[in-house]
Amino acid sequence: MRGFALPVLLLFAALLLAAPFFIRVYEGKNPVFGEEPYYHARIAKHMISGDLSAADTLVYNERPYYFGPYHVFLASLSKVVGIDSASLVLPFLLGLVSVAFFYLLLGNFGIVGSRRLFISVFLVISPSFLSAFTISNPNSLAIPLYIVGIWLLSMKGGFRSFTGILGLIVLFPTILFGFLNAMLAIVIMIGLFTVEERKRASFLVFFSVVFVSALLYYLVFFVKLLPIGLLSLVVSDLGGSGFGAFSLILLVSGVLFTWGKKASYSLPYYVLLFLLSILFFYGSFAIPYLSFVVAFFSGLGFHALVSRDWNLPLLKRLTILLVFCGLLFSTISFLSRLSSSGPDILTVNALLYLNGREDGIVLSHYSNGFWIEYFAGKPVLIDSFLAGKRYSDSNEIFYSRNLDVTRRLLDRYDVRYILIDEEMRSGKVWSREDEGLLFLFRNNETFSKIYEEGRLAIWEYDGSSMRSS
Amino acid sequence: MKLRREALILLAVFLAVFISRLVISFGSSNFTYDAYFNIRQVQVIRESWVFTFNDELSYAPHPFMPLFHYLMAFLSIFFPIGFVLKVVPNFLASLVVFLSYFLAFEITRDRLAALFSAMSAGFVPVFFFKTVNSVSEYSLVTPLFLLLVYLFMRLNANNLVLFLFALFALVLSHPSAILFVSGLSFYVFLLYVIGARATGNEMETILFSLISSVWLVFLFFKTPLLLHGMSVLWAGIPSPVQFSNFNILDGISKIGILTFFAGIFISHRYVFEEKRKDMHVLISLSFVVLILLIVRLVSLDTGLMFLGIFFAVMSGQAYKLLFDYLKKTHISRSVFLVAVFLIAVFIATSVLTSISYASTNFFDEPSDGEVEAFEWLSGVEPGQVVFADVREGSMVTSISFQRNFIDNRFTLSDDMGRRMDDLEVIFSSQSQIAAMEVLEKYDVSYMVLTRRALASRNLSGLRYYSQDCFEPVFENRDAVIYRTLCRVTV
Repeated sequence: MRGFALPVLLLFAALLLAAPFFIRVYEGKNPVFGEEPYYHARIAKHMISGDLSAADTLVYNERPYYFGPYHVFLASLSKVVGIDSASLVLPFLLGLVSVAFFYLLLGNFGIVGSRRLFISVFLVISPSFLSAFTISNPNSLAIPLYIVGIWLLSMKGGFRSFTGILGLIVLFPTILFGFLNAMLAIVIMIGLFTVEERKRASFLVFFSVVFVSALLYYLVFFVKLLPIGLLSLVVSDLGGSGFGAFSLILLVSGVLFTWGKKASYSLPYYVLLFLLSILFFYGSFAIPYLSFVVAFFSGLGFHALVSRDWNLPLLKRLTILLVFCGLLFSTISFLSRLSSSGPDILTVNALLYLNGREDGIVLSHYSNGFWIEYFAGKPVLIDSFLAGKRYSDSNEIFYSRNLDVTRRLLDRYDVRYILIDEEMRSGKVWSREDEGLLFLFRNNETFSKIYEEGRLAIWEYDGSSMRSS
Repeated sequence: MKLRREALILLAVFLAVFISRLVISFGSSNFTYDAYFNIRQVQVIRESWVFTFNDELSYAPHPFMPLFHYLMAFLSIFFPIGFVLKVVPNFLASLVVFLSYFLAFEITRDRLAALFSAMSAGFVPVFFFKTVNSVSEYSLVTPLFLLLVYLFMRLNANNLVLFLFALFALVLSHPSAILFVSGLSFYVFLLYVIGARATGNEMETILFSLISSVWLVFLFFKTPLLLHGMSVLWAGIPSPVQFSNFNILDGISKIGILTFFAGIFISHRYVFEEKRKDMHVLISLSFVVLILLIVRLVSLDTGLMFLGIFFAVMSGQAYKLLFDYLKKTHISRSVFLVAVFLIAVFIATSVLTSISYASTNFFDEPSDGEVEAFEWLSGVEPGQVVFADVREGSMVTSISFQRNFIDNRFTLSDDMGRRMDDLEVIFSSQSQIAAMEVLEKYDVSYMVLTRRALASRNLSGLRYYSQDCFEPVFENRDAVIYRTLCRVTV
């Protein structure tokens, strides 16, 4: 039975990772879902065709491309299976590699039996893990590099052995993913190579101080005491892509359970504290990496819950049942959300239509930005990488009922097309049919509808005297 | 015999509280503004026995926990609904007398002190006037709170099932169940700080309560939590005006002078001087409420209400300490007189204050004329959008049976801020075009302008009024109703 644990775990992981894809295919939707994959796919396409420039021209005012080692792998695989398949297959395979080596890695640290199984299952059902390895993104390559690197470095012989040197070689490329990745690699090295107990305690204090300082700074200067915005990013039950509420409760439980033996768990503690400090300011970076540490502690917390002798056996049964249901609910709910995310066929068709139109800047909700860039090949005013003035101006365009104000803003950014989809009409932007810009569309001297399919429409704005006919 | 005498006194206190409440409640034919939302939900449940956030008459879906409303709807099968709405919440609220007694006795082991505590709880002024005529879920929530604390203190395998039922009842009645589990979690922390430990039973119960409450509240309130933050758990919109108008004397008066100082004394004693685990549960709950009040995540009156009830229970220990001390002094034979004196002070400060606050609830209740105006609207064609002030929004749905423009409850949409701004445009604009644009945006057919709503804005009428665009269809001393006639075109 023990020998079958890893293969069964991998099969379970494969089913969960593949589930959104199969559901979308069954429903006739575009198999590649989410926004970010299309940004990376566009870069890979340029790499294949050899015309990757320094600047991304498909966004107002241009900006540098954010590319790295992941795009090299994506482009290479795309040459064999096509860009869409590569966007699906690459993160999927890397996810399985991560699960396998994480499982083996736990054994290196003496975590075996049911504890190892709980931790691994918690990892696989975690929304952050599922998000990282179903949506094509650079973290899906960086993470297995870390996991394999730690596995090699934690083998007998340390970093001076063959496996140790190999581990350093595997870990080294992670610094190419960015500054925070490099910092994470350093933290991991500290966790692996600090042997003396006093030094371990010192580092633990250091990372704890960093965490508390980051927390206080965030709470005092960024938010009014309660970080609802951060919670909604981190907690999958609140719409985020991080962790289920029960995973977080079990995380606390796991930390409390291991606190007395923290010297033996210095690596996960260092990584946890470091990533939590980063989480306040770079939430979307920290979450995929946190999935492993959170799974570690929440798995241990769950194991403590199950193996403990309860004074009130009825409560034990109810608690375990509730936790099980809660975790299942979080995972199923997240998978359902993944499966129903865009782009849908209507959006793709509309953007392909727009591809055939003359050049011009497209305004839409920022979450449509990468799709517009990929399918329509048109520059956008904003996409998911942008915030600040352009975001606030786009909101003003959406909500204003004053034609002069709207025209002034559209002219400022030389907007030509405006894409409105169902989600924007149904609460993402507006909740009534005659709100803001929707009301102004009645002026057909200024706006002409050039495409409509269901509740999705593309309007052409005719107002700028600078645009040539 | 002594036990029977104390039982009779307890029953007398309960009846005094209950009857006072009924007298005040039936003294007015209407309910408070806040009550009409709950009345509407009871009406909806009565029709189909299925609750919904998405009332077709409401401008947006409203999240709420339905147990209290189901209870009202169920009882309305056997009694007239008006009777149920007046009597049942007051009966439930009066049960705090018994529960405070048992809880205080559990702590003090002194029947006299427990009786004082019960009396204090029955006449916490803010709890009294906020639940006497408001069909409020807090009538059920507060006794459930006390029951849960009582069962937690006596937790064993025998009363565990009752505890679980009470817990689920609390969670399904109001999301302030989160306050209960937060208080228990803080209790664990407090014990750790003072060098004590929670028992195995307590830890297991707290863990289960935390997990189940958080999950259930997330299930119902996920979207409004995301939109509006933690204050949505207290349903009403906390008004900055409440806190800016607050002064400490007002707060003490709303809790009750004796109750307030007794609660402070006991909190100080058992945090800094003496360690007693049973006191720390109530102290932890009080501390959590205080934090919520300081960060303004709970409305002022709701926070003071919980604080008052917790202090009332804790005051039993203060009275016990006082009586024990007096028994050792040379006036030990006068303990009875001291008790009578305390009762007199209590009546003067808490009982009369409670009744006074409740009787002069003018600003919280619509007048008969205002109700008449909303009742008139129930005779027009159904499905009209009716503009009214924020606090009158629920009267549009529950009395007029029309669609409202806005109300003072959190919703599952994020356009409440915009509606509030638009509301002020409609009231205060000098431009008819600006006002008409807003009215047309929301498809408003009727406007109910109460004298009170206009007076609160220093208005005597609409500044842009013209007979061409606004046809007066109803008027009395307290309100006027206009039908909108004009449209704005782009």
